[in-house]
Formats: sequence, structure tokens, C-alpha cells
Amino acid sequence: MPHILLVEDDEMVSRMLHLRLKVAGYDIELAFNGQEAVEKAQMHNYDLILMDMHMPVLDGHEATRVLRKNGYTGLIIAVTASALSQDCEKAIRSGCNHHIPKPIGPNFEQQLDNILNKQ
Amino acid sequence: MTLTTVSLWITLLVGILLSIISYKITYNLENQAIRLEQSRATTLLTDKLLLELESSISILNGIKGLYKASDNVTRTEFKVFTSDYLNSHPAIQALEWIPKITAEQVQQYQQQAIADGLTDFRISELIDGTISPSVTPKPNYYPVYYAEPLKSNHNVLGLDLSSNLARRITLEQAMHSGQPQATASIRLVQGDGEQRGILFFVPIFYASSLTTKPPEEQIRGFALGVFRIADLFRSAQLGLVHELDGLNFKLDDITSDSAELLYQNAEQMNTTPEWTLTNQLDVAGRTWQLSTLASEEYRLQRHSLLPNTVLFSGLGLTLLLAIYLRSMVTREQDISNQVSLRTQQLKESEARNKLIVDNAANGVLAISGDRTIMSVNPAAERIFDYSAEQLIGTAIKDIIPDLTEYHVHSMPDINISKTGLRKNGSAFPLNISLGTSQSGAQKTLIAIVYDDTQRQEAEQQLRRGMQAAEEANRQKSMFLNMMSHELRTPLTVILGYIPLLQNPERLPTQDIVKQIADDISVSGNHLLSLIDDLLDISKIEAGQMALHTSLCQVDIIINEILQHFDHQAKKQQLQLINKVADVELNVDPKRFRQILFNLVGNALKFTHQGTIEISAESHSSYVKFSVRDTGIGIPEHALNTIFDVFKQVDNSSTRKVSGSGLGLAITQRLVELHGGSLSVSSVEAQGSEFMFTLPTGKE
Repeated sequence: MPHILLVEDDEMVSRMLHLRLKVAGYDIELAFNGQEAVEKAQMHNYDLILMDMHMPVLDGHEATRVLRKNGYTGLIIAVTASALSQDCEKAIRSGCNHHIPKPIGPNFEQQLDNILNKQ
Repeated sequence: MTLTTVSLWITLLVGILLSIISYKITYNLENQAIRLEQSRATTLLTDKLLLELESSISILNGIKGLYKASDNVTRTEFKVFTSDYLNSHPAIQALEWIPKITAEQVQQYQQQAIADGLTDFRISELIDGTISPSVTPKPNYYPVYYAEPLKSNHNVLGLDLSSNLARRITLEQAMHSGQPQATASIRLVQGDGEQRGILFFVPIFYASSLTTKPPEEQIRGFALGVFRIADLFRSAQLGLVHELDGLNFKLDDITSDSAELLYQNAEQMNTTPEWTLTNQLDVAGRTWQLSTLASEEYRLQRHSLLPNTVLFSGLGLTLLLAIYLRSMVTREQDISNQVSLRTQQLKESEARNKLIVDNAANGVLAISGDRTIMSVNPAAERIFDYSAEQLIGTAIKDIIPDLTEYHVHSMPDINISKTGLRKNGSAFPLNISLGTSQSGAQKTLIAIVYDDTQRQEAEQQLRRGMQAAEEANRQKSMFLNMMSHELRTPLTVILGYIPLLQNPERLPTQDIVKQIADDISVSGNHLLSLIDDLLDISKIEAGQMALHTSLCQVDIIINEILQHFDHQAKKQQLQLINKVADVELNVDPKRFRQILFNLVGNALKFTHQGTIEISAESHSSYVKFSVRDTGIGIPEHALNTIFDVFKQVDNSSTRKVSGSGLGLAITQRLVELHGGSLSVSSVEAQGSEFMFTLPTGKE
């Protein structure tokens, strides 16, 4: 059972994703901003971190950068609502392994499985 | 008349004069030559004539010799002796023997003549041109006894020559002088009686005669020659055809005082003293004068073309010289005309250039070698605000301080940007281009100057405008990005839930389904409000927002809105206070509600503790509403832009609040549509107050 950290500031989006992933059988931990994500990721070893990029306190880009700087090597997937391709590239540059655009599709779980299986 | 024209005429006159004089001199030289030739011809003719005469006399002397050799010369002997001479001297009419016969001898001579075959011989006399038998007895007779050629002289045989005065005088002269003597021109009795001739008498004396005796006694007879003058001349002219061609001549006997014409070769002989030459010749006791006249024909024949050549060459040369001079004069005039034309053109061009320079928008300054201003145009006066008098003589450094010699020497420099100084000391940007004008040793610098102030300002304005446009464009992109993000968030919720509800056999629990429905509902409504905002702002921007106003009790509307937010305020532990009481206004209720909804919604978003208070102040023509919170406030730098479309105070990715960012922009436009105005005052961390006025419609 893959262990996933879901980092999302929007309450409803977080709830929706949590539900979807729980139904799919993942073990979910929640964080509501970048700071919280960094703290949790350094305490536990997650199979996957789903990272929103627009967040208060510490955004996804910065959080990823901090994690990578601190030696975190686990999978980090950016989930972005930006319409700009440069934001996706920015996420990869920050240290994310992949990015999935919002809104997520019906095969979201499949995408995650594929990424995990490749690892 | 110019000097050159006068000199032209003088040249012409002098040339013609010289030509004529040269002609005259040449002509006279030729005349002298002709006269010399005439003189030579005259001498030749005289000599030939003399020769002829001497030759004739020598024939007579021959006859004289014959008689000296023989006491009795027979008629036959005489004929034989003379025949040769007659043949060779065509001018001789007759050669005769004139014996002196005494009255006693007449009979004897007549008989002898008859014996010689001349049966009709008798002594006759010549009276008044007529020959008649002699009737008057005379002691001595001088009859023509022999005459050869006999045939043409038959009628003179027996004629007593002493019967005629002219003949007798000559006869006696010859007898007394013992020398040959000639008569004057006499009419000959031989032939037609019209021909004139000269008779030559050569006396023949008895050989034994004593000189003491008178000649009448010693004389034996005379040898007589009758010469035709015309023929004499004819012989004399032989061999002189060329020399005498065209020459008129005449022979006069000038022995007596009255000259007697002997012969002339032309019918009329004009006496042109200039061209008449005379030679005198003494012939047998007579003096003759030969005159020659060079006729015009003669002179013409002997004149060469030289005088005419000289004349016409001279005239031609004069003409050529005159033409040349005239062309020179014309050329000189042409040049002078051209010079004046050029001068005029130059003046016009100068005036035109001055006009151009004077009316040029750019300042034009002429600067001397020592870098002082020599001249300026009106534009330069305007640019530097000095008068021309003030500028001229001023050093260029005084009005363009940063123009260095480097610029002057690295010419031509195109449009150097420099600083100019006006009269009042104010500096302004100017553009200057330099050029040199070399005039002799003087090197003048020409500076074209224009005031760059306006251009630079315009450039800055343009740059600012461009920056603003770029900024607006950037903001629009950011807005679109943000809007996309805002729209995607509720959509993510809605679409993300859908797969959980699609499998009816594996639906979540009822509690969870309700939660999902609530979340979808909120997200949907949020989406709707975003779309509404977008529609509103685009309507407003397009000027298509129409108000549907009616008289409204606005305090009631405010209450309704506060009730709407009551739940949220309580959740945030905020206090909502409505201080508005009984205000009636003519507004569009929907839009008034939207204004307050936005302002209160904003206040709730940015306030985390304290109160949100709504109040209204009634004035005569308007009502002033206020929404005041105790929230985070607005940074001072953002106060100016918060009403702009596409502008959120915080558009970073760590933004805490969500929303379209169009709320305030829409609110301000709606207030303005109602005829009021929206303003804000804020202190950061203490709170903000949004104020708007709405007109009462009562003035």
C-alpha cells in the first residue's frame, strides 16, 4: 500500500483528492502548505508526494527546492492549475519528477500507479 | 557706342584707306613702268623711222653716185639701178631723176624722151593741183625726166617741179645747202591725188664745178624720192608689233611755227599730256616730232592684276580683321552679358539661399576661425533667445559650452548631441551638425542647430507609453494566468469528484456523497460568480452595462447583505455592524447589492479579527457610504492600482485569498455608472475604509 503525502491548500480540492486516493487504496497523509509538507516529508519516507504549486506560507516550488536541498530523493509530483507551460517547467526545475495538470482526469490513479511502478 | 565699337570702325576705315593707298602706289608704280615701256617704244619707233629715212636717203645718195659715175645715165640704166630698191622699199612711191634743163635744152630732152618711147613727153607745170602743159617760158626747167616705177608715175613725167612753190623752195634749199632736203607733207599728184607724201631732194652737182660759181650754175639735177608717209610708218613699225600694240602715235612737221600733221595711226588722237611722249627728229632739213599716246587699251594691256590684287587683298584683310574684331567685340559683349547674367543669377541664388536660411526651422550659425559667431539666422535667435546683434562676436563656447575642438576637427560630425545655453542661463538639449566652408584662406564653420527638447520629451513620452503598454500587456497575461488558475480550482473539485459517483455499485457512504454534493455546489457557484465577474467587466469595458434604476430603501438591502455574510462572519469571529438608517435612493438594486457584496466580501477576506462597519452620510445632493474594516490594510504603493482591472495586490503563488481580482474594478465602474465615485483609505495592519458616493437626484 503506497504511502502518499498530499500537499494542497484548497480545502475542497484536498478533500476530493483525499477521497479519490483513499478509494483507490492509497495510504494518505495531508499537508496544507509547503512548510507543513517539508516538515512531514523529513519525518516520514513517502512513496510519493503530490505537491500543489500555489500555496500560502511556502509554495510548492520552494518546498520542493528545500526538500531536494535537504537530500530528499523520493518521488515528488507537481499538480498544477497553471495555464502556462513555463510553470510546469519551473516545477521540474525546482526538483519535481513529474507534473500532472489540474483538473485531474478520471485516470488520475492510473497515472500515479504508472509512475510508482516505474520507480 | 562703346570704345570697342569705335575701334572697330577705325580699324575698318584705316584698313580701307591703306588698301586704297597701296592700290594707288602699286598702280602708279605700274604706270611708271608702262611709261618707261612707252618711252622705249617711242624711242624704238623714232630710231626705226630714222633708219627708214636714212635708208631712203641712202638710196637717193646711191642714185647720186650713179650720176657721179656716169655723165650720161640712160633711162634703162636708171630703171635697172632703181628696180631693186623699189622692190625692197614699199614706201617709195617713186624714184626720179630731175635734171636742170635750160630753155635751149628742152627740145633735145623731148626728142630723147620720144626716142625712149615716151611719145607724149612734154614739159608741164602744176598749178592749183592740176597738171597742165607749160606755157610760160623759163630760163631753167626742173622736169621729172626719169620716174620709176614708170607705170604708176607716168602722169608726172615732164612735170616742172619749180612750177610748184612747196617743191621749188625745197629744191632751192637742197641746191643751196648741197644737202638732201625734204618737203613738208604734200599731196601727191600720183595715184588718186589724196595720198600724202614727202619728197626728198638730193642735189647732184657737176663734178668739175668750181665752188666760186653760184649753185644754179653748178647743179646738174636732183635725185628725187617720193615717199608715202603711211607706208614709211608701216615699214618702220615692222618688228615692233608688240611694242606698239595699243600705242597711238602721230608725226608732226614742226619746222614752221604751225605744226603740220604728217601721219597718225588713229583717227582721233586725244591729247592726254600725261600719257603723251614726244621725240624730235631732224630729217633732211626738217624738224619732225613723233608723239606717242598710251591709249587706255595700251595701259590696260600692260597693267597687271597686282594693284587690284593689292586692293582687294587689302580690303579682304580689312574685312577679315573687322570680322575678327567684331567677333571679339561680340564675344566680349557676350562674356560681359554672361557675367552680368551670372551675377544676377548669383544674386538671386544668394537671395534664395538667404530666404531658405532665414526661414529654416533649424538654427544656422557661421563661426569664424577663432570660434566666434559671425552670423546667425532668425531660428538661431529663437533657439538661444538672443538677438542677432548679441550673438555676433560671441564665442561659440558661451552658448554651446560642451562643443570641443575635437568635434570641430573630427568633422563632418553628423548630429552631435550637445547642451545649449539660453540667454536666461537655462540649459537645453540640442543637436548640432558642423560643416566647413572654405573661402580663400578663411575657414568658416557652419553649425546647423536645432532644439532637441521637444523631440527628447516626445521620445520619453513614447518610451513611457510603451512601458505602460508593455506593463498592461504583462498584467493581462498575468490576469489570464491567474484567472485560469481560479477557474481550474473549482473545476478540479467538480470534475475530480465525478469518477467517485459514476459507479452506482460502489458509491461512497451517504455522508460522503452529501459532502461531495456540497463541495460541488460551492465550487459550481464559485465558478458562476467568476464567470459573472468576467461578463460584468467585459460589459462595462464595452460600455454595454445598462442600469435598471428604481427608488430603493437601501438600508434594507444592506441588512440583507449582512445577513448573507452573517454565517461567514461568525465563523471568522468578526462583527458586522450596520449604521445605515432609512436611506431611500434611486439605484439599480441588483448593482447596488453587487457593490456592497463586493466591498463587504473583500473586507471579510482581508479581515481576521475585529469589525466590519457600514455607515452612510446624507448630503444635499449625494449620500456617502463607508465600508470600514479592521483588517490587514493595503500597502501604500498598491492604493493607486487596486481599482485597475487585472490587478491583484498579491498575485504571487503564495497568495492566501482567491478571487477573480475583478471585484474592486467592477465595483468602481458600477459606482461611476450610478454617477458617484469610489475611494479608499487604508493603513497597513490597521484596516481599510472604502467610501463611495451616490447622487440623490435632488439638487
